[in-house]
Amino acid sequence: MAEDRISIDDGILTLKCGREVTIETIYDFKDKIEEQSKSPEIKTIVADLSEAHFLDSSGIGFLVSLNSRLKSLNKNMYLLKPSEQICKTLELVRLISFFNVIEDERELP
Amino acid sequence: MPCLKHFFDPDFDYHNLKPVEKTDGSVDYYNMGYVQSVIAGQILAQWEDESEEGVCPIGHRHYPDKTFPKGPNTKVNPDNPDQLIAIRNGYVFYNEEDLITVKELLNVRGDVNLSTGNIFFVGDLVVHGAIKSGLDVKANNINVKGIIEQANVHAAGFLKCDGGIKGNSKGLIEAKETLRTAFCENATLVSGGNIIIDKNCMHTTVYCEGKFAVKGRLAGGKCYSDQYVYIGEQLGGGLSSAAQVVVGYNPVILLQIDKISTQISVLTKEIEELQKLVSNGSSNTTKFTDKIEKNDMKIRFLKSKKKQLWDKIQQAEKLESCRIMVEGIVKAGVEISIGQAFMQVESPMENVFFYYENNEIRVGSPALKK
Repeated sequence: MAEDRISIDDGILTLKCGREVTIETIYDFKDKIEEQSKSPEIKTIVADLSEAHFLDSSGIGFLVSLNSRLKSLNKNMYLLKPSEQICKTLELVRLISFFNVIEDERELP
Repeated sequence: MPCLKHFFDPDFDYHNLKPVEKTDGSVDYYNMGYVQSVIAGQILAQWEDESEEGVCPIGHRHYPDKTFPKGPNTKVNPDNPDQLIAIRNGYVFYNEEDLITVKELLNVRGDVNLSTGNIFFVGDLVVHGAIKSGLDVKANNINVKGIIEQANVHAAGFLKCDGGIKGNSKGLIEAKETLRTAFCENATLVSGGNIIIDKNCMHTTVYCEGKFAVKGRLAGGKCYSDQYVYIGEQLGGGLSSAAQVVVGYNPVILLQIDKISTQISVLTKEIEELQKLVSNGSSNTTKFTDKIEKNDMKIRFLKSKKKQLWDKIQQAEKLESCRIMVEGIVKAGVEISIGQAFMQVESPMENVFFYYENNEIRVGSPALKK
């Protein structure tokens, strides 16, 4: 359920991406996140990838399009604690530097 | 007749971008979504059945049979024949033959300005004009034919700027690989590879993980490079615009430390302002106190992170192989650091190189061994 994965605090929406970010799993929360991202109360979205160990192309596509969408709304997106495996996948498709990566939520500006 | 559902806007027209109205009623000309980026493997379109009335939902297109309008860099998903996927990173659009196409190279045939807005693209980008002030550009490899003004430009690969950079003190130009420009003034350059400046580099802060070369003059500003710096004509511009060159420390860590310091000072300022409000007896005291506590916690975390980075940076090795080579003149006032060793040039020198030996900086000549 999308509600279990999403928490909002102080204008920051945190999305727990879970163990796998794939075409099957993103449909649980994709629409909800896209809808929430439009809300004026949400200033930042944090995609918590601390548990993720697999990211497929649809998962990457979702992160890229969410990042673009947020940029177009003048909001920020951060990837929280992506594992080495996830970083390697993003590096392989040369997309790692498109994202702001943080290791701890206290790094958020 | 089947309906084709699109996972992009099939009617998107970059000639007809509309500014977005923000929630506060103001209009945003900067973020208009110039391209629709897709990545390899991403679903572009999918067949769906029409409704009982034989109507397709809005945004879907009717086709006589399930034959995809398949253009270059797309293919039918081997795991699901009802889906069309991209096979390259790029931007998606319907081409002139009405086929869904993905293109890896984006050409902006003019300036990046308020008519294009910021550009965020996962493929390679060629800007045939300039990147104007206030705009953000992010892409894989980037080639800019004109000038980069006070803009933020970030390349995930290399960045080449034929027209030069005039950053007006706020321009930030970053490249993961080599960064090459005709000249650079009043900007910050960051590169994970080499930086090559064909003419002069003036009043610029440089963080270079590879080798840093300026064929003309380097005057004003700070330059952090991993090990090697080469200056062709002149280092320093006299006492009024002396240059500072630092090698032997990892420039990326130095950049991180600088960023953390900025973040700490912003948070400290915020705390000071909140404390003033609390002491004035504001009605939101609890809210402000919470915010102060949160900021305090963040500052403690950032300080400990900064300390960790300094500990990491102190372990710099290979100081002996660091070289700052100047074929032309080194002006008085230039500051040279190699690791913890420091030297201020007191009188002009010519055709020299600076190196590290026995915890101090020494000067050798000629700059380059022929």
